[in-house]
Amino acid sequence: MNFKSISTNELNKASSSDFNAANFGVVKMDHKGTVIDYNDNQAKHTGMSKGAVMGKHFFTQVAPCTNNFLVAQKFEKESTLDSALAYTFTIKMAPTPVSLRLLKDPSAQYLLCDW
Amino acid sequence: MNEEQLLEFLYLAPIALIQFDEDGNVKMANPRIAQLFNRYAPGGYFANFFDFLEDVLPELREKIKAYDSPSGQLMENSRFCINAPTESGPSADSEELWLDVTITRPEQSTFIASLNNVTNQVRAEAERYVAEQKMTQVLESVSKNIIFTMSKDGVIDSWNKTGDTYLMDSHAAVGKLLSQVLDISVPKNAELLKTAKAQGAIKEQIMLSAKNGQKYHSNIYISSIHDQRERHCGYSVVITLTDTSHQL
Repeated sequence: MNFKSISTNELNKASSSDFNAANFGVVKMDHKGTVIDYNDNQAKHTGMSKGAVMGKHFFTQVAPCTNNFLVAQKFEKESTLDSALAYTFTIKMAPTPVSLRLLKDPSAQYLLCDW
Repeated sequence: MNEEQLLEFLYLAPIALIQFDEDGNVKMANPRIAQLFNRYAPGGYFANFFDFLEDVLPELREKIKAYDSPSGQLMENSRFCINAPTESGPSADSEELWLDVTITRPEQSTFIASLNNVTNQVRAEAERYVAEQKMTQVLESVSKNIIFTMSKDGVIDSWNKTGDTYLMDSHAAVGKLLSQVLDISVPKNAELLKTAKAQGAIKEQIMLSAKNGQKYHSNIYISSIHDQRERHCGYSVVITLTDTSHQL
């Protein structure tokens, strides 16, 4: 999987094992923002295990730092999405720069994180 | 409690927390800080709190820099307003964000700040202020109605201009009882308040002796005022003057 070029179509076809093989973070959500998959790379960097985040609302219960017009509201407003932006998380309370890709199609939505 | 639970607690805390050193270098920050900071400089790495404040809240930066005690509390719930972008792009709209800021200095090289978003509270206060202004305008414009309020003990605590015109100036009326501004007895005063409190409101006819010597047939309407928890907290009174030539 390539962070910069992977498409929503490819992500939809991938399994959890495929996500875990990626060298970037993958958060798969339904269109309500509920986490339905979360890969090892994301868990390793955030310190939050898959078990702790599955079924939770990503933008309010997992990563509230993304609950703004730059990320969460973009997913809400657009029916399809493929955009990239630089962002700063506060991972384990430390400001951490990351690159994000926001992807969405009728099947699901994804937040990809290149640490 | 394990580390994951502690992190989750800090991640979800509904208040922005940041720890920085005396040069503004950020040591720790929680997601609420990132949620706010990223709006200003999308992707901007906020390594230094003072750099952020320089553009957004220079007066707060100056207060922190001016604090020369090695430890202590710089400020508690000091209110600041910032303009926060609501969308991306060169012509992005912005909104006022009101923050209550508390900053402590546990040691020489460390500051800890909490930023609490009180925008909704400020908006409610502003709406209340405007509503009060409108009500004051209405009360001052009614020329045949003496309108005032009383505390729950029946002591007058506000008075409109019509009251000034017909009975007495507000500084003379405020602090008095009904029986001291109208021609009613003390027992009648007590009876009116008791009935208004019990029934919610009462309306009676009275004879009003104006300060110009004229007497007016009047209707006095006293209603009980309640707070949001339905506790009785005072009375509102409207005295409607009718012409002295009217016979009942």
